[in-house]
Amino acid sequence: MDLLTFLRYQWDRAGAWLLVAAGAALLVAGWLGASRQLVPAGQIPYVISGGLGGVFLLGLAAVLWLSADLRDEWRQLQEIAAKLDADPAGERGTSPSDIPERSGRNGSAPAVAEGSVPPARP
Amino acid sequence: MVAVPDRPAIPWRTVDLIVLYAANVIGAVLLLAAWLAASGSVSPDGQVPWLNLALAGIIVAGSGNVVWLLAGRRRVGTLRRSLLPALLDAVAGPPEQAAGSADGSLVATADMTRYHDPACLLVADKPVVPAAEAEHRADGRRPCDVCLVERAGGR
Repeated sequence: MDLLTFLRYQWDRAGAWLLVAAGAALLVAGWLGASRQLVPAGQIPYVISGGLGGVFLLGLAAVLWLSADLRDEWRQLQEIAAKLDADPAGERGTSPSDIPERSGRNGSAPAVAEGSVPPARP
Repeated sequence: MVAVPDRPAIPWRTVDLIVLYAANVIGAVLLLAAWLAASGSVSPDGQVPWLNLALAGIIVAGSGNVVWLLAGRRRVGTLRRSLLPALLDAVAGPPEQAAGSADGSLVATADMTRYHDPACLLVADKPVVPAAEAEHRADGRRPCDVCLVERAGGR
């Protein structure tokens, strides 16, 4: 899988990593800036911009990552629902191997069975 | 059969998205305003209210994020619970026929006066022959009082 395909399917996780990097950089920058100020009046703006701003970005990163997990789970459940609807119980025995595997945590695009819900993300 | 209504591609509604965006935009604006105001003040006493405002921004944004995640988690859980019974049925396959049904699986030996379910302990290790219930009855046999108690009259 090339990088563009990966970014198209995993834009939220890639964005989460970017936000983690930006938040960490902001925290470090805030700490460096505040440590160079001699008076508290000069440090508080760094606390707000660097410290709280970094926390804000890290929170957004967590939301993006957890949302990606929830979206993957939602899509896989829809695939299961589509399989059950197309091939209901009693007409055949569904083995556990027919159930779509959970994927996405390792950075790979989720496996999509033919004829099932497409992997398109909004 | 599981009905598959047209479900959205994501486990959130538009209102959840609006709440998420609004909370984070408000939080970011409060944070930015607090930083600008605190930078223009020269005394810590004058900066403390702006620091509080920045914290309020973080709380607003965090609350919106939590609401978003909980809404998604709740909808995923609802969908999972709705699929679980049908999924268990599908994994288990079609239900097996009840033991002792009239499919020729009732057994007896030629000398027996009663016919039995093949799993009945009274015919264990005996040279039984399977036959339909009607055939056993035609040969004058009655249902076993142990394994076919319903057919034998519930005694």
